[in-house]
Amino acid sequence: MNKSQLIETVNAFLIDEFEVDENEIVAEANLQEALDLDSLDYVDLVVIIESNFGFKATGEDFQSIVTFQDFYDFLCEKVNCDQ
Amino acid sequence: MTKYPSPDQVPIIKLIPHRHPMVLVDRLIESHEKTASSSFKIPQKHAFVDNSKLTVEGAIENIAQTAAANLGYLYHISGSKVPRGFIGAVNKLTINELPKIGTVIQTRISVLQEVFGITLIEGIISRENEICLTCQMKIVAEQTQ
Repeated sequence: MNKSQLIETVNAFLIDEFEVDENEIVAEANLQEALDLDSLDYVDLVVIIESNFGFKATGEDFQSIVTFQDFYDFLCEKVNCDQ
Repeated sequence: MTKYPSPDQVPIIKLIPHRHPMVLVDRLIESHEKTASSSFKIPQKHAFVDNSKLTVEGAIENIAQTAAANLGYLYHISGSKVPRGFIGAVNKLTINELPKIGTVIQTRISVLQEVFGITLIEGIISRENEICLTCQMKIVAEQTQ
């Protein structure tokens, strides 16, 4: 999987699961604010990540994720996607 | 070696903090770390019965109490104090039918994920192998000292 494919996959599941408008998904935007995530929503995010990418994200992982770009970079690093 | 009673032999009020008329589980049938099942006969008169059917709120509470009873049993046999749990959120709710009074429902719960102190479960209520209602539920456990 290359990074564009990964971003496409991630955006698709974010739109589906969090009912966010596609236009709000901008690389520099704040993930938590754009998706209106509360602490319970992070559980859904962990479940989706595990089902799509096969690993379980931890609370520490999310501490360094602020923007969508951070989220893509984190996932890409975890799954060794082609940059 | 201590022989513990099977889950269906333990009175339900020893496994959950709820008391009548808020009890919505009759028996815990099976108990495992990640799955459990219970049974409940829909009573004629109950706060969660309306138009001769169990209400959606009652069905959701039945799923939550099944999860609570399972934890109660697991903690009970390990001799630990049972933490209280609270429903944090319910989603992916699908209702095929609401069971009528007199119907015995079977409720199965499966733990899908445990993260950040929150347990995500899937609950399925069925009667005679027909699925009545399914949902996912996030349960937040009270922190114990």
